[in-house]
Amino acid sequence: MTDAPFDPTPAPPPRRDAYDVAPKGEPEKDFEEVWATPQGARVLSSVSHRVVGKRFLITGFIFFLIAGVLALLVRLQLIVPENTFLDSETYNQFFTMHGTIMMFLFAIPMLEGFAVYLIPLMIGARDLVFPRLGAFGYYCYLFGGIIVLSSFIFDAAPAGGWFMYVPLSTSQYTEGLSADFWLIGITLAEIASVTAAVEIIAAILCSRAPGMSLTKMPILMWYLLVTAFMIAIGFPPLIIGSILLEAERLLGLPFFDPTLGGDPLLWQHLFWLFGHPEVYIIFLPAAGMVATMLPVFVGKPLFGYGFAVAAVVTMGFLSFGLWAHHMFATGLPIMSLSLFSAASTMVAIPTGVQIFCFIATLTLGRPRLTIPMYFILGFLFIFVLGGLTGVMLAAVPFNLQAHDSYFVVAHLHYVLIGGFVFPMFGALYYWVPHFTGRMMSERLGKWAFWLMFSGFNLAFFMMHLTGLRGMPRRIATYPEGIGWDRLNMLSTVGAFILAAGIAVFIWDFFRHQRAGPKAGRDPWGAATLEWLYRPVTPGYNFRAIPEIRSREPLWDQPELTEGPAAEIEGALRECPDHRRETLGCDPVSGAPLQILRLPHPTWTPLISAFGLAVLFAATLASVYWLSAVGGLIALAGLTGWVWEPSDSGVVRNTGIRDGLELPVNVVARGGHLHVGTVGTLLILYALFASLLFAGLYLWNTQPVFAQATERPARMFALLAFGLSVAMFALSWMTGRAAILGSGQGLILILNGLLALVVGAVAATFALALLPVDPWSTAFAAVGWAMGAFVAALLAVTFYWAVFNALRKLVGAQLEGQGLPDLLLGSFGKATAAMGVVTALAFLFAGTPQ
Amino acid sequence: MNALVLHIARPITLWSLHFIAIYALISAACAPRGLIEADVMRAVSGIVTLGAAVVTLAWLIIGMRTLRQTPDGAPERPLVVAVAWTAAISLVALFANLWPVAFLATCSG
Repeated sequence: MTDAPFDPTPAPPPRRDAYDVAPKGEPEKDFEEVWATPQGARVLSSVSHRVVGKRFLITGFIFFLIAGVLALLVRLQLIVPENTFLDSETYNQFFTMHGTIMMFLFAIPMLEGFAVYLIPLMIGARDLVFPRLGAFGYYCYLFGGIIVLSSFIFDAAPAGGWFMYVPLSTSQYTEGLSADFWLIGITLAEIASVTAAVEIIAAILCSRAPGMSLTKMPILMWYLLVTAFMIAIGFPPLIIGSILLEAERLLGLPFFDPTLGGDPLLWQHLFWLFGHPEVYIIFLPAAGMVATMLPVFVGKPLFGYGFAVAAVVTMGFLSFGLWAHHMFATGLPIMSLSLFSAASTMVAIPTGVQIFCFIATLTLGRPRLTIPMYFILGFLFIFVLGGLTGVMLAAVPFNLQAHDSYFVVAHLHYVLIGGFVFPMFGALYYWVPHFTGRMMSERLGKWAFWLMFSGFNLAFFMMHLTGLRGMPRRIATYPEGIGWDRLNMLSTVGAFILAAGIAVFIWDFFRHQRAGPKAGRDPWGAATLEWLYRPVTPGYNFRAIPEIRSREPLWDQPELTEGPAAEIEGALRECPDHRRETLGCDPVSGAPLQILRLPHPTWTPLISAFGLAVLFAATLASVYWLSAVGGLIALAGLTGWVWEPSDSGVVRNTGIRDGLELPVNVVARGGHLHVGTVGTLLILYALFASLLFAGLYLWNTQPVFAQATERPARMFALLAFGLSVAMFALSWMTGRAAILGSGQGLILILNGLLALVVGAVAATFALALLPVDPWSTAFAAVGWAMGAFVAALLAVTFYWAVFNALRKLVGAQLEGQGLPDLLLGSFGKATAAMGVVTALAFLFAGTPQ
Repeated sequence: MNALVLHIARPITLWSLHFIAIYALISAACAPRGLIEADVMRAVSGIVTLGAAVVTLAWLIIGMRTLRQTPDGAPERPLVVAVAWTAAISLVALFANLWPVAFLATCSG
């Protein structure tokens, strides 16, 4: 079935008033041209989710191959005892970079790539709600990855393990820049993860097709939504940990130095507060993809949608209570170990519920054994085995025996390769026709699967036995004749068979683009909206956004499949303003709420990310003037990004439900920008909570040093408290005035007052901290870190308030266009609340001296 | 439907708060600062768990009753199922948090 060309763009309605314009509209272009991807070098300015999503997937896959080659080299070194193929230092670098790349530069970005690409297509939107943020995140990831990889060029590849434990990673034991490459590069790359979290939350909650309530949402969206919240809360502890460790290496601040009241275990807590939820962050989207594909090949809806939702939500929460099971051998009190052991066992319940949903779905019909289905079955087999060894490792006595042995290596690869890599390959086979318009080979797919499946099990099942025979992880070689030789040989052979399977996939991928049969419309017989058009779907995704009445719209709504997709009735068929637009919805009910104006191609994300990359790389090289230049470039890019005329204050006909009229970029708390701001604040609160945790941890475990720390100046701390309360009140008034549509003059005054008070809060915090020497104790250093964090947020609030005032003064923001002030109000309130907590901490921490 | 979303999240959010409370109590009793005695920790943990368990049990009962009253084909039924199951899993998880405090005599076992 072919899609007919869409209707010509109708003439725009007559203009009504001063607001009734479309800033940045391109009247010379028709609908298709407005959505076209720029050609040539300008493709780098594209912000389309389809372009950015594919970039994430391709870059992530390249990193996967690099890390895979490193793994093969590691296995070659271990193939025989007393091997000299790699020296110890190179071996350490290779296994460190293998883990680092796989965890940070492959797994998370791949899931981001799938999310960025699929979310709008599956929920009936034309793009993500913050396309520039997606592009910015991608470039941060790319530059961060390049920084990490470039360490090989400078012969400074990190060698301390993917977890960078202190004190090994401090300057005392790791001289040179290798640890700095890791800390700085990974922190830059992580910006992509947290931006993706905001993007995913706002997109799923705010841009679903009309009628798509939460219960009619594809199950993958639940998984991605929970994952996004987990990223927002899980990544900040590592970001804070990395910043603290880099500050210790660069400035000598003693956060982890036990001689000054620091604690190496603090790093482990912060790292695993991120590290364990990350396993679920990697697993959940993959399980969501399984839950999407499985019903297609069974021909029935997923069994137990509600059970799966309950399981994924509870797993999201429970996964944060497991972090210390990575620290069972560090000497924590037995009672703490038992608490984490119980939580680690507990998480098996929702995981089991989920697996039973999949198995029950399999029993509903006769599954078609397609290539994606092979990988789904492979996932079920391998992941369940990995889960079982996980329950074993949750038991403290067994964990102490198996700790740091190859048994743990086997377990984590069963979980991560079973729980992510197999579903990912299934998903690639499933969605590649959507990317390329052609089908991959069934025959080669079976070869790829069986090579991967058999190679994987040969390589990693053996490692259970190697571990039970006592072989520790991370050793570069081993003596012969102690029962490890043959098992290691088999593991290495298995690893190469696994690699051969991946090579077959790559060959088929390139082959199918010229020789693969063309994919028809909905080639798998799927039920979800991304298959509405014949692949490759046009760049705008939906010519008109259809009304949704079912969770399986392509199965249950015949009007969607009977005629050409471009002629389906729906919202926003007209394009009177020549702008990229999609429909915004109520976060829960899915009722249409607004029309979202989306940005056209722009260079600002690339410029901003480039500036940040310069800032980070120059800091690594200790060229601080260049760091400042990078910071200024980033600031200029971000300012250009947000400096554009407001779109709100206009009402347009959506073309559905008898001429339903909706506001453009509504000024309301349920709007996408406010939801995005709340998502950002969640991340900021998690960052702040990580610092508070660090302070409380050191206070509790190092009481002598906490007692010896100078208390901040009480008078100024008290003043900071009072001014923070005033800042909260002013921010509340700003937000309220924006919602009520108050006059420009009043809001301008509030902007000015807020900027003044913010400046005063920052000054009083600085004066309060002056008596405290940050190099005196780790506790004092954490106090300064909290002050610096709040100061950074205050600087943003100040800049934002001045920025909003300037925009009003130059006419870029007119009366009634209060969205920027609504957002400023929420951000200001959150910052003020953190100021209040910090001031209280300063009032009571330390001792007057 | 707004309420249903809230009802899915609240029992497991309560579990999170409970976990933080138990972790904080263990830390207060077992870390070098020694803020509280083990008996105090045990007593407060018991009270906190009892309160959280009663509330979660009430949510579970209400959730099950709502589930029985919701017809099979009703659009909100999947979320009603999720409400009941989240409460059930959270209730079990509350007791999982408590057991080390209840069964171990001292911080060191």
